[in-house]
Amino acid sequence: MRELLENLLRSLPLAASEEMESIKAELLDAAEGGPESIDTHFEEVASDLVDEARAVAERVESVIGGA
Amino acid sequence: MPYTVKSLKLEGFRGFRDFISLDFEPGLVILRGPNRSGKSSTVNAIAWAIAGGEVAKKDLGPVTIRERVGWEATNLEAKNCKVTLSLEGGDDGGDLVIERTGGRGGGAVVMRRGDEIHSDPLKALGLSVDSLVSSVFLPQEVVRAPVSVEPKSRERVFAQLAGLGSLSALEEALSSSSAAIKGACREIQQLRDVIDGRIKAQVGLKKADLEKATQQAETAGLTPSDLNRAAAPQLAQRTTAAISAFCTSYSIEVLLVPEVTTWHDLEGFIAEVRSSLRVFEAESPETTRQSEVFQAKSELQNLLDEHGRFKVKREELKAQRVCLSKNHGTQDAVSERLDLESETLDSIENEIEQAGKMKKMISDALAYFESLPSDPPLISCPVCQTEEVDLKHVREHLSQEIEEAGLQPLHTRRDACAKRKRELLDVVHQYTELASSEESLQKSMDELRDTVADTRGESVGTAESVERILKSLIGQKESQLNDLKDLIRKRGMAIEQVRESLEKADAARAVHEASDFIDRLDDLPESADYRELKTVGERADLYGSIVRELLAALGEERTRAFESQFELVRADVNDYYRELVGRRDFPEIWIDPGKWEVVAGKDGRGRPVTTFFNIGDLTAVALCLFLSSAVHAQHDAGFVLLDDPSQNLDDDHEARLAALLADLARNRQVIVTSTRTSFLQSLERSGTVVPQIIELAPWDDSRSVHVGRT
Repeated sequence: MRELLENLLRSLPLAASEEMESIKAELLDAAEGGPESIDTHFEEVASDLVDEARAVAERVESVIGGA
Repeated sequence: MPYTVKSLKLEGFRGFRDFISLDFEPGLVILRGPNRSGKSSTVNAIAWAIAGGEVAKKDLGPVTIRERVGWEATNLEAKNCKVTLSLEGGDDGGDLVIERTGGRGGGAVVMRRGDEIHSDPLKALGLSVDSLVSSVFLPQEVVRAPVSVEPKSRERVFAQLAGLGSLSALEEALSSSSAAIKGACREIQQLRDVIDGRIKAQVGLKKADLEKATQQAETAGLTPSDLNRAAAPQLAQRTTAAISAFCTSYSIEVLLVPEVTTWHDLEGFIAEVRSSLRVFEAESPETTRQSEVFQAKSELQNLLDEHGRFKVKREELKAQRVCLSKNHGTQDAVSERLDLESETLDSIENEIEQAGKMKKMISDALAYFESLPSDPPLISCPVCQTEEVDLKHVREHLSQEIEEAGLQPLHTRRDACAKRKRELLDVVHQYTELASSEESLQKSMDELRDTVADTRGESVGTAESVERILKSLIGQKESQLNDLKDLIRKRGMAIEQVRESLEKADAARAVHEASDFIDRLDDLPESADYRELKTVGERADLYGSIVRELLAALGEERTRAFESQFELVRADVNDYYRELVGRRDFPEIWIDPGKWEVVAGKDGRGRPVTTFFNIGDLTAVALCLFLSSAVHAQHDAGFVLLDDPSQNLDDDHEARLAALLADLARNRQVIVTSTRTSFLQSLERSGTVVPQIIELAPWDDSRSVHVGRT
């Protein structure tokens, strides 16, 4: 699975960046555990991103409310 | 030359607790035995030796995985689990030995002539997980899957058997991931939209506030230069100067107010000054003095009112005395008359007493003579002058005469005299009470005079008028009150001047606050937090892009894999299928690369087989996909493992499958298990090859293995 994913990632037409490489590395690590692990990884990523966005949004809201 | 299975040594694997060794021959190998005798475990042991935990992983495909979750390789009663698989063949003719141990620290070693040459048996055989499950190992769960799971899972099984299992599994995982990431992107975008909306709304509100505050500032008389934020210290300074002037004017210790260096300091400054102004208003000495003077004036007014009441009372008593004197004479004259009347009354009382005594004496004397034993004499009546009347007559006439001529007039006189005496006594009493009232009034007036003297601080002379003194004092208090009122008004005006200055500063502060809020919201998109939120959104978008691109790349890979794998076997799949179902005219079956569906039809138009094929037909499709893949496989595994492949097939299908497998066994090793006697007999009777029979005993019997060839 890792090999398949590695080949696919290599073929992606996305601009290389540090963040992109980091995400690719995360995905390849997740692929070691099979497709379900990939699914779980993305669910966690999605949840973490939303949590992070909510926390930041709260801080921004406090500025709006307290400005 | 591809490798074939030469021997298999098992120890502590699944039901095989003790060591067992099985030798395999090329061609067709039949593993026979009742249920729970280890047929499936034997072929699984071969797969486990090659792929290890991979056979229980999802990589094998959705069906295999779910049935193998928690699958335990190690026998529960054995200490160690070890499988040694010997393969013969290879281009250099050397046997390949794969040793795999289970448990913690377990792993595989691939050896040739005693030397370790590899750690991954799959790679040593040129296999991948996909090719293993599509062309080498057909577990009974996969044979069962097309008829025992939901349509979507059937398609996954077909994809797996076509060698596209990993692609299918990855696509499914990425599709699910894509939904999760899309949801996150959507939620983050919503958060950003809400914040942008709030910023816009707040700016709108604050602009209205700013407009209002500016108007108020202009109304308060502030100039545009006053509304410069830098002018805040000057505005505060004006207020401070007004406070200092006020404090100096009223001899108050000059108030210390917070220093204002920027407009932000105005709020604290204004609050402090407002608080002090409230104290100045509440604790004004003029107000306290005004209250005291007013109280003193009220008390003087009360004294004056009381004095007025005394005067009235005095006049009333005076009139009362005049009236008594006029009606009854002076008090002395009344007293004299009272003495006289008392003497007269005493005299009348005495006369009445004497007359009564006389009457009694006469009556007693006459009664005595009447009581004498001799006849009483007849005498002349002194009252009526009648001659010779008896004593009784005389007694009665005398009594009547004394009563009428003596006692009755006395009684009349006495009553009249007593009445006059009572009237005089009453007058005397009135005089007495009047005198008492006059005395009491005088006492009160003297006390009032003393009070006035105390108030004035100077004794009141007898010639002085208390009323005039009181009126004079009240006039003085009124004058003081007027002066105080004027002072209070002036103080209020002074405070008002401070307040006006303060309100100007506050109006400027409101303008600064509103404009600062707007500035800050205008700057918010450049803030670290706002940019971080944007970055989080961009990161989510990046994840989304990667998943989208991966799915797109998978689509291309699927097409490529389809063309390189399925198209190669497409003709064989249909040949096998027609052979297996016994219908040479059967429509073509193929895999729709766009939908991963196995379709049956003609001229490129068909329907998914899962929608109209029966159980036997679906099983046949699975078997044909596997057999075709096995025939075209490019790896070095020259053997196939089929675990109970004839399940779900009727007798005719079963016999045809036996013939196909026997035919396949002519150029590769086919290891097959089954419990169905008819299938095994068909295999044995196939005639093309002589099968090797490995007879296994049940678990609870001795682990005897009978190996034979019919």
